[in-house]
Order: sequence, then C-alpha cells, then structure tokens
Amino acid sequence: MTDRLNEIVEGILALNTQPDMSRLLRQVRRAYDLDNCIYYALNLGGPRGGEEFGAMTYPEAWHQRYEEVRYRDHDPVVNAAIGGFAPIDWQTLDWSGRPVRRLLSEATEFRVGNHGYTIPIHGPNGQFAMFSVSKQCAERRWNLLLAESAQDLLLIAHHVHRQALEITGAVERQPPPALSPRERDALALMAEGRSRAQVAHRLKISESTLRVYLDSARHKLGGLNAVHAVALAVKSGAVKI
Amino acid sequence: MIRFVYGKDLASFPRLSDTMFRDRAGQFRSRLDWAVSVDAAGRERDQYDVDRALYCIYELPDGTHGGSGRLMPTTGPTMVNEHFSHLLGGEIVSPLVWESTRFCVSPRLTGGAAAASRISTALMLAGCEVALRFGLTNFVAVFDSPMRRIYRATGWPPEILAEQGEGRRKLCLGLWEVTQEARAAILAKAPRGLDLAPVPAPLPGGAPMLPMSDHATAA
Repeated sequence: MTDRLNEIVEGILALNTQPDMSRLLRQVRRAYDLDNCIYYALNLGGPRGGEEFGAMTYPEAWHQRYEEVRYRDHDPVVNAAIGGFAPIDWQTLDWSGRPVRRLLSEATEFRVGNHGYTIPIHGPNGQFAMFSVSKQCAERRWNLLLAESAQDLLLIAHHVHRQALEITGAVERQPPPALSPRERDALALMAEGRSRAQVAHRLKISESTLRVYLDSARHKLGGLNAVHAVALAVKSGAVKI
Repeated sequence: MIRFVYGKDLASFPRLSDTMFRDRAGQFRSRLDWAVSVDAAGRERDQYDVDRALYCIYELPDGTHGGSGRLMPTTGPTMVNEHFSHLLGGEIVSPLVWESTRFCVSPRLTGGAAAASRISTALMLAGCEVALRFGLTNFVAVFDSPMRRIYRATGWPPEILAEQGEGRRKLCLGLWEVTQEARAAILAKAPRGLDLAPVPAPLPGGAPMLPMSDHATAA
C-alpha cells in the first residue's frame, strides 16, 4: 500500500459528516490528478432503502441541473452501474440518443471531464452506491492514469461506502464477520512482529496468498491496512498475543 | 473470439448463451456428475446466474459457445463463501478478489485436446487481462482435482489453499495471482493458432461499441 493510498484511507476512516466526505473527495481528486470525484449511494439498503446519500466535487449547479432534468434516468453510467458488478470505463458506454447527447454537452459545460470511471457497489438488501472519478484529458493519458490507479480507486470506493453506511447510521454496528482460522493465524504471526516472508513460510503459503488472507481480514475488520487489521484483531480479542 | 457479457445481456446473444447453458449441463452434469439443476430444455443454471454476473465467453466461428467462465466479486454472494466456506473455515471477502465459477470448455468441440487447450488458454488470458484492468489482485475458485492439470497447461496455475476428498472427485480451492507476470506466462505457453485479439471491454447493453468522440462525459 502506497503512502498516498494510506493517507486517503486514514482520512476516510476519520470522517464523520457529509462535508467531511466532500473534503475527502477533494483530497482524492488532488492525490490522483483527477478533475472530479463523487460518491453517491442511491439506496442505503434495508429499512433506509429509499434514502440517498452522497458527496461530490462537481459544481453544485451541475448537481442541481442533473437532478432537475432527472438525467440519472438516461445516464448510461448509472444504467451500467445498476446492471453490473464490474467497474466501468465511460469510454465503453453507448452515448448515442438525444437525451444522452444533451447530458453530454451539458456535462461538458460544467467541466465534468471527458473521461470517467465508475465503481458500482452492490450490497445486501438492495444497497447500491457508485464511486466515480472523471478528468478532462487525452485518451492516452487517461488510460495510463487508470492503469495506475484502478486498484487504489477500488479500495477507496469500498472504504468510502463502508464509512458512508456508518456515518448515516444506515447499517447498525455489527460484529465483524468471523475471521477464518488461516486469517487468524496470519494476523497472530504478524502481531508477533514477523515479516511477511516469515509468516508465509510458517503457514506454508506464498506471500501472494498471505496478502489475500490479510486483505480479507482487513476488509472484514474495517481496517486501514494489514498493520491496522492486526491491531483491530488484537483489540477485539479475535487474535490473542 | 472472446466476449464479455453481463447476465442481463445474455438474451442479446441467444445462440451463444443457449449453447453455453447446454454445454454447462454437458460438462457439469453428464461429464462430472455434479448435482446441478438442468431445465427441460437441457440448460444448466444456478442461483449465481444473475444479471450482474460477468461472463467471459469464447465464441466459436459458428456463433456457438466454445468455453466460458463466470466472474463476480467476493464482496457479494459467492459460491466459495456460501457453499464451500468449510474448506477454509471461513470466508474470503475482499474488493480485490473475484470468484470464477462454472469454468467450462464445450464438450461439443471437435479438434480434441489441442482445441480444448486453446480455448481454456484464451479464457484464462482474458480473465487475467480483465482483472488487471479492474485492479484485482486475485481470483478464487473451487474445482475438481482434474482441472488442476488443465489450469497448469494454460501457464497460470492456481495455488491450492484447501482440498477435500480423494481421487478425481477431490475438491480444490485455488487462488490465482493477477499480475503482469501471470499474463506473460500465459502468453508464453499459448498454443499456436490462438486468437490473441485484444480483450474487449465488457459492454453493458451488448450494443456494438461506438467510436468514441473526445467529448464523452457524464455525471
């Protein structure tokens, strides 16, 4: 995990309000050399299903216009994100049709950016959110930026979503899902101060597989990174040292 | 050729998807004798054949299915976590790990082992490329032991994390590392005659891709 990503995720775990989230998105925009960054939950899931929550770096006027004209009913990005699990490069979408072309030309006026990438997040009970970034640049530059940042953006999207559920109170604080024995072993050995190579050797797995165990544990515990996951596991008593 | 198709768009490819579900019945019920459900028309489907699943499909020149796999994130419902979590004693959940299921090469293929190997290699390469594009670190899958040889032959063998049972029916839980090196290893082993056209992006709507103007944008 790079310092850049670490700093962003640290910021996400510390945010408590919607304005905090807007600030955080501006930070992501700066750190990854983007023009815009938006998190939007269209459905918080379960009993809060009808509620929306989000934050963005777009001009407020664009958001208002978008809602007023109900562009989301025509937005191919929203359609694609509702319909699939996979991240979407806006270049691959179908932008034909009159309402869609109007959406395009107005978005250009509001400097949304000519390239974009959206990570859909589908949770239980209809929970659905999108994390999008966009930028005005040449195709070559955009492709390079995506190749370099896709993984970070995927992690950021899921962290932001989890934090959004937390600060809106949409999801009751639940005990984290149980760690598997392998995940516990990995965390326990890490907690003893061993290197990843040593831990992998002890567990007779590759370092790549160790990384999967640590990341899965991190995701379950809501941690910032592997070290933080170790700390959370020890604190919660899931791992004894 | 390889196509990436979302579950909701399978209907736009009737011949391809119909033969895929029939081939799956051939592979998983007839050949492997799994307890899968097959409808009256001979198509095998399960609860994970959902609209949002991403299918990686090898289309034969006649428009029918040559082989396929089904991809979805482990942050949602997956077979490995809902049916096989006992293998590891817990779930694998990470935005960076996707599950691959129903990996299948058509039992109708002519051309013997060489043809089957070309298709499984093309599928693995496409899976690796799309995962690199999404920024994933790994695929996870549960499969029968004989598949290990097939995966090895593609140049991209999984690391086996858990096994259960004996012989040909031994279940394996495997993890693939997604890296540029893995991609290079598949390419190095790719048999002659393999179509190495660039892997297309998944196309929501199944519509032909439009040439992009430099002004596309959205909210």
